[in-house]
Amino acid sequence: MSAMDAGGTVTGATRREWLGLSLAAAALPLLPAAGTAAVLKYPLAPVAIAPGVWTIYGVNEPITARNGGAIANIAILDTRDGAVLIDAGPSHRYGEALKALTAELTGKPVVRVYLTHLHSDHVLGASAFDSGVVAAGRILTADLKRHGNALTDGMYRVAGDWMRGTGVPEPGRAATDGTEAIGERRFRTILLSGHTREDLCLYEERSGLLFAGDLVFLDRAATTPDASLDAWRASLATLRSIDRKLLVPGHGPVEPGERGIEQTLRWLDTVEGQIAEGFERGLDLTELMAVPLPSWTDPIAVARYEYGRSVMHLMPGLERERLPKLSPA
Amino acid sequence: MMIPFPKAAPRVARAAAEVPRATAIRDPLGSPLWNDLAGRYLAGRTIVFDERVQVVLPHVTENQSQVPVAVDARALGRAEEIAVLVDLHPFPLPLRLEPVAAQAFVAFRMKIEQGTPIRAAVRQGDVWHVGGRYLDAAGGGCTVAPVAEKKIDWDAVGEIRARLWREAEAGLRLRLRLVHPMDNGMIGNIPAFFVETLDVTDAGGNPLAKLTLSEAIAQDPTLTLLPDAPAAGSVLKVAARDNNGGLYKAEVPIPAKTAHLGEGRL
Repeated sequence: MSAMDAGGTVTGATRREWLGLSLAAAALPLLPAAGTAAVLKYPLAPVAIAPGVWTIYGVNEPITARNGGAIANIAILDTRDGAVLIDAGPSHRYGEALKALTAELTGKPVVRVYLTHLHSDHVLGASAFDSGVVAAGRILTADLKRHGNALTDGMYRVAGDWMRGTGVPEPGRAATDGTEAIGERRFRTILLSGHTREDLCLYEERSGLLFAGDLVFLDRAATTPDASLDAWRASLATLRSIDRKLLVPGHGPVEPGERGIEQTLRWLDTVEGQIAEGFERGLDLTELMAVPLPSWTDPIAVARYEYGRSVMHLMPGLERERLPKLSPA
Repeated sequence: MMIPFPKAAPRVARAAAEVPRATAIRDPLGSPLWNDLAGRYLAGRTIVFDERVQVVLPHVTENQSQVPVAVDARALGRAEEIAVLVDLHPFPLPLRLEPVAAQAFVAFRMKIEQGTPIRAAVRQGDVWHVGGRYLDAAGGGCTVAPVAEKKIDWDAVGEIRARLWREAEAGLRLRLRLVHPMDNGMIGNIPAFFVETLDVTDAGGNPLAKLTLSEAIAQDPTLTLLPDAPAAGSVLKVAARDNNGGLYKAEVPIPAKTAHLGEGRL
C-alpha cells in the first residue's frame, strides 16, 4: 500500500567486504556459511558534495529484500555543534549504520535529524535516534502516529530481516517554516506538499544546498501513492525560485541547474496525461498499465514499474469524477 | 466431569461421478486447493487448462482492497459462462459472468486476503477452459479494516456512473462504477452488505451480460464489459441488486460514433 514507496535493489557488499568475509570463513570454519548467515550490512558510501556535506545515494530500484530499502538519498552535514542528517533511511539498522558513519566522518554526535516526508525509505531509520533530535513537520508527525504501523508492516514484508528492530519514529521537535541555526550553518525549513501531504524542504545558507526531498526525482521515476499533482507542481515552482548552488533530490544525482525539477515536472505531466487519455479511451487499469511510455522516459530507472503504480493511484479518481453520473432509470 | 470431545462426523466420500477431470491434470499453478475448488464449482464437466484464457494482474499489489483483475478469453471466441476462482480466499468465487450477448471479457477489482492464484474458468458447452496467474500480495484486504479509513458516503450509495464507447466491429465497451460499500461481514460489527447481481440489457430488456458478484468485490464496484451493440434502442440498461434488496438502475446512452480506439486495448 502507500506505505511501500519507491524501491530499488542492492549492490551488496564491496569487493573488499566480500574478501573479508571469505577470509573470516576460512579462518573460522565453524562459522555458518557466509551466504546464509552473513549479517545484513548496508554498504553506506558517502559522497562529498560540499565542504563538510555528504550524500549517501540510494540505489535506483524498488524496495526489495536485497537492497533493504536503501533507495533514497540521505545527507550528512557537519557543523561545529554536531552533525545534522536529512532523512534517516529505511530501517533501524540503516539508522545505526548512519550514526556510525556520521561519527566516523565528523567525529561528532548527531544533533538533528530532519525528516522530509511520510515514506518508509526516508523516515524509519529515525527510530535509531533519540526522539529529541528528530524534527518533522506537524502533519508528518501526525501521519506517522496514524499510519506508522502500516509503514513498518509493509516494509517488514518487502524488505524482511533488514527491518529487524525498526519501530515507528516519534519526532520530538516540530519543524515549521523558518530558519534554524545549528553551529555555523543556517537551515531554512520550507514546508511544501504534493508528493505527500507534507514535504519538508531545506535550504542551507552557508553551502547553498537545496534539499528537495521527494519533490524532486532525477533519472528515477517519481512515485505517487500519496501525491496531489497540482500541489506538487506548485511546490516545484517554489523550489525553482530558490537561488541555490546544488539541488539534492530525494532520489538521483546531486546537480546544479534545473534538470531535476524539469524532469520531475515532465514525468508528472506525462503520467497524468497518459492516464487521462487512457480513461477517455475507455481503458481499465490493467489495460492502461500495458500502454507503452514515450521514449523520452527510456533512460529513467523503474519508469514502467512506477507508471503502473501511478495508474492504480490516479485512475480511480478519474472514474469517480469523470464517468458521467446517470440519473436512476 | 470430563466432557468428551465431540467426534467429527465421518467425511462422506465424494461420489466418483462428481470428481472433476481436473484431478487427472496437473494444476499449472501448483495450488493445493485447486482440486477442492474445481470439485466445488466446476464439477461434472471437462476441465482443460488453456492459455487462451488470460487473467491479467498488476505487477505489484498496491492496495489489497482494490486489486485490479482482467479476464480476457476472447481468443476462445464466444463463451457461455465465466467463473473467476481465487484459491486462497474466504470468498473463492468473486464473480460469475454470463456474457449472453457480450464478449468473453470482464475487468473488475477485488479484495485480497493473501497471495493467491487467481483463475478464470470459461465455459463453452460442457468444457471449462481454465487460465490463471499467481498474485503476490500481503494479507488483510478482507479481515483488516483499511489503513486509510474507509469512507462511505451513505447518501451516494447506489449512484451509478457509466459510459459506453462504440468499438469497431459492432461492439460496445461499457465502463461502470456503482457506489456501494461491499461490506463482506468479516470485519467486527459491520454486517455483510454487498451487491449480488448486476444485469446489463438492451433498451427492450433483452439480456446482454449477467453478473453475479460476491463479498470479495472491492468497494464501489468498477467494471468493464464488452457487450454487443443492440439492434435497436439508444441506451443500455443496468440493474443491480444488493443483499438488502436495494435496487439500483441506470440507462447508459449509446454513442453514435465509433471511437478512435488505437492501441492499448487488451
